Amino acid sequence: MAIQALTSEEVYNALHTSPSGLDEEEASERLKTFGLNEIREAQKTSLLHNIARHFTNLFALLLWGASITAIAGGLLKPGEGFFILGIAIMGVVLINGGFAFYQEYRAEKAFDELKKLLPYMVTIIRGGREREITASEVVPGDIVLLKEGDRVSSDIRLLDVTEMKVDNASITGESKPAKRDATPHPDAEISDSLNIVLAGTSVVRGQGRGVVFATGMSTEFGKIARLTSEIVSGMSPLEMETIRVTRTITVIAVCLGIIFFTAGVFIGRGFWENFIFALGIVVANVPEGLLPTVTLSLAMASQRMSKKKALVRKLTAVETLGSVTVICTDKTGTLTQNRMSAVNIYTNSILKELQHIDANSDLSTMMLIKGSALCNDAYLRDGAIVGEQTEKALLEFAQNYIDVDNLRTKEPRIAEHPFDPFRKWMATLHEDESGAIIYVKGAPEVLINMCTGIFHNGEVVAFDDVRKKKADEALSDMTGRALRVLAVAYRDCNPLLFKIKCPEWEKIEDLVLVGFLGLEDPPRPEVPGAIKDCNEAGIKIIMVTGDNPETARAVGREIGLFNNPDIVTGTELRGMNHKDIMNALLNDEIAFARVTPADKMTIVSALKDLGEVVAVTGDGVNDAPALKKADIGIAMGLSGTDVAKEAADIILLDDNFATIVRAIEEGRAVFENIKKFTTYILSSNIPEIIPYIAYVILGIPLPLTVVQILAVDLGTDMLPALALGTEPPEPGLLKRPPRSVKERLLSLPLLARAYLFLGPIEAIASMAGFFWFLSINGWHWGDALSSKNPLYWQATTVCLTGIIVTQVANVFVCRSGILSVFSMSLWVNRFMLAGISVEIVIILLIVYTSPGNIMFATSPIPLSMWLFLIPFAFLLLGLEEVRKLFVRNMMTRRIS
Amino acid sequence: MTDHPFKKILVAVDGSFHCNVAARYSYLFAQAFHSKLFVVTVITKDMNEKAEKSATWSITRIIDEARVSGIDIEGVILKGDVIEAITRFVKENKIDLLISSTRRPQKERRYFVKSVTSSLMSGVPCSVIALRISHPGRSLRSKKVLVPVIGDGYRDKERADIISPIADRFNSNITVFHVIELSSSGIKRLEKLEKDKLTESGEKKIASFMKELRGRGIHASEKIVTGSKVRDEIISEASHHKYDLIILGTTKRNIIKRVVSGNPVEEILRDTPCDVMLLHFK
Repeated sequence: MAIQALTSEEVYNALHTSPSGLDEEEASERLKTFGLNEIREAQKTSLLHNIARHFTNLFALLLWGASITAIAGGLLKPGEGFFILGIAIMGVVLINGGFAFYQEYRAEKAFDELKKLLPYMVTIIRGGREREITASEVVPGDIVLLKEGDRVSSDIRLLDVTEMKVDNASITGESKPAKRDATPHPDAEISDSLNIVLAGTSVVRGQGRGVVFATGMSTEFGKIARLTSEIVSGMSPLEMETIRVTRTITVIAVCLGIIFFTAGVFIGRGFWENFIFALGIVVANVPEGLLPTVTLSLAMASQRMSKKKALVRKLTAVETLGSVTVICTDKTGTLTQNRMSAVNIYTNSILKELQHIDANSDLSTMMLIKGSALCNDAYLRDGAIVGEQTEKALLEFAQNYIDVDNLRTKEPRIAEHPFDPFRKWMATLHEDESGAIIYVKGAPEVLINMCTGIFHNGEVVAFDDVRKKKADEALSDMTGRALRVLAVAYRDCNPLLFKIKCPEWEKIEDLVLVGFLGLEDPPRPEVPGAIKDCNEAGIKIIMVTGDNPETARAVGREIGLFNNPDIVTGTELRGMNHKDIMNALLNDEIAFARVTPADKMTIVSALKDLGEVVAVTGDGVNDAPALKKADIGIAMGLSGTDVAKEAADIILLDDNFATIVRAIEEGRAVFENIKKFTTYILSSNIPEIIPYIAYVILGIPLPLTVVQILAVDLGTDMLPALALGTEPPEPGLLKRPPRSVKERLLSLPLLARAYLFLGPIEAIASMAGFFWFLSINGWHWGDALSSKNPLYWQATTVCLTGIIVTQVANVFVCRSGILSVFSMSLWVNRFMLAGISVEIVIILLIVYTSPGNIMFATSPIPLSMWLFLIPFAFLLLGLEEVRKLFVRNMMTRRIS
Repeated sequence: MTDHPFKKILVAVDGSFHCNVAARYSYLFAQAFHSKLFVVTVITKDMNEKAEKSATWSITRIIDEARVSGIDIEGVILKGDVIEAITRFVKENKIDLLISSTRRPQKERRYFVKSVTSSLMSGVPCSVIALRISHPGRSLRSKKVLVPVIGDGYRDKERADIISPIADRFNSNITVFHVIELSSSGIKRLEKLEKDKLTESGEKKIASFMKELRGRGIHASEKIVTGSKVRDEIISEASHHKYDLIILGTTKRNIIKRVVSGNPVEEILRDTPCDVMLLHFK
């Protein structure tokens, strides 16, 4: 039972209904069977659940545990600062959870936009009576009445129509209204059939009556809605990496805490001493500021991207862009300017440039001009041409030679067969001096097969093999020059029967070919450069266009996208199985032509199954599933629908392909910068841990308190780390291949540099300062020092200052893993200088103001101690320069 | 196809639209297997006069339609409890295959688990095909058929027997679909080589079923995907590629999986965008 193939009687029989519709009882039964006629969003986790998740992960649980224990300690043993510590750690959990939620959260509105395309009320016939019901109550078998302006609630097989045209843009992407009829169409598919109207479309002209055969999520629109709402793109590579990092560090921190606590017990230390120690180890190991810094760095990168015309809708998309390995891009408007203009014509078996034509003396050319003007829905308003790009170009072409308004008055349109994307032509019937004439305009490959004659020097001659061959050659020549080609044909109607009923109009065939028109849509000037960048960056570009394969090939060649690509058409794609599609996609040079937006998702799915990180562009409602399916969905800001924009991760404000490449470069820089500030943040963990190890093993006074650790992690470190996140892309970033999915943020070299090189230098500085200060102030090894002794406060302050001083130098060295500090301009990242200034101001406030002293248990230190610590900063700079020189030499040797 | 095990087929109807559409699928099997078809309705105590009339009218209509197709058909009206009456009839008449239809399961009530069809599946001593009619516009024109193989597959030979008449009648494109379940983060970390290995293991799992299909001259394509949830992948595939029918075998999903992630069969029945044929062999 193909509903589109049945006669009206068969439709009633198949759906167990009649012209008077279902009765209420049967409708109610069917409602139970098929459910409400509404699109349902996939069940999503609630906002509360999402928030709770960020406060209950392993990292958060660890800190909650530490916080509660510290608060309990504060209650049991007041005056030791445990209570404040507990509150501070709790603050860390809240800050981290808040930032993680902000980074991930994005209100999903694509589904709401889809819902707007469905009506609320519907006119139906039930029990022989016409009535209005809410659209959700419609069931299969209901008879629905449609009129101009109605939005369609369900998939309907039409039974009677009067001059009906529907806007199918939401399903097919085709912006021109399509005519509908009620006759059986045995060879058509449901979504293409002329006797079917689909949910989510709208009636733009005429009226009709039909029977519902699919409702809710079973409709074609429901399928788009389902794919849009159910496809979960999942966690971005960065989100997964952040989780991995925090998990790893949490496990390390807990293990170390337990080991040292146990060791302390064996050594014979008291519970509270061990407790402070274990807590200190945990807090020192955890990079509390990492997640907020990552989030802020992504937010700042998204700001930079918006200045480059790429509006980021989901923060993590910034970094995912940097991992992109394949971009599936539309052609028209993205690679090209979408500014069509006619450049040449083919008439009288000759291909001519426009400047060489003489319309007045050439009847064939004049016929082509008339056909372009009359079989055209574009129109003039206040001197400007309004309409679809191709039609505007045709009208502009005609306007250069004739008075279009006058022609349209003299030869008025009587009837029309609107353009149909599946049929690929439109036809109009006009009155003329001799009676009536039909003009047909459409895809040359289709129209050629509908023509039996050709207009040659004012006469109709047979369209024989020789002329067909010539026409084919001209067509190849035109498409080979990246032109969009349209054919124009005509047929005279019987003057006595020129009204719509004439047989020539009922069945469009035996046409006379007038000629072809070549339209140029010039490439965007920035595109060839952007394509070159992508090639160097190891990013594959796949053109996915609705255009003709030859035009796709020519445009691709013109912009340097490919030389000899494998071009797969939509029809071929739909006939291929998944494995064949994946194999085809392994081809280095591949493009897809004559594809529908629905085919995009097939291509994206296959690419993802090949392990690629895919970015896809789209603008239509039915592009939404592909935009959601891709790792990065990119919607067009100028031409995109609201549904596409809501489904996308990034919106291109200028619809320009080059903007994608600029955004990718920014995305890559973000990951590099995250590595830089992770190194910076992790480096300070070592000078934070060493004091605790020394405290237990050497039995010395604790050189650094837990609150002071937090002052570094969440205070002084934050802005310099953020500044490292704003480092401009390093030269040659787009000359490297995309980041592998296996590449870890916490790589062994990164950990080794932070924990075994930079961190120990900082630890030496801070511990040396601590001991030096104690020793010059009369402390001897083994002396007990009360935590309330001002000397102790000053000594811990020196230790803290030692970390900050060396971290200042560390900001400079972390700007690059290999380049010398002295080879990098200070002024390209002014934010870094500001960050360092703030870092210094914070430490001065902590050391030299009363509130700072109270909050962080510090005390002012003399200038001499600064002078003692500053050389360590230069030591770090110097040693790092030596290391970088060594690395650079190694790399040079490896390359040579 | 004369050596098939389905000599006698029973189709249960209750006068409803979805039962009548389901009954039309039974003609297909009766014709292909040259089986005797029994169309049965059960008049229960709680049925009103209109429902009774509708059920008996259904029988007449189905008999008329089936006879036009040259099917040996017999109409039977039983009385009493639906499950008991049908089970008794199946036993007494040595029915080989029962065809029934089921409504859309409701999430809150786990409708399918407690439905008549579900009870029949576990109660009757013969194989059962349960049909869920979801898209009457695509019913009985099964040009594109999706056959998910969940887990290690299920009664390959019998399933191929059922698919064969459908493929023959509609010249269907059959896609055998296997989902390798992984966590979403696991999928993201896969590189092509690892995906290829998984695909290879998936191909092994469906190999014997593909062999059965090929043995019957059915050309089927295979599609192996990695996904975080079987249900999501099947529904997504059916929605995206506009399948007309899903043919699904019931699986013995372990109790822990059922509780944790639900029963995929029930979820597919609830959310399917096209008709579903659920097979349960005895």
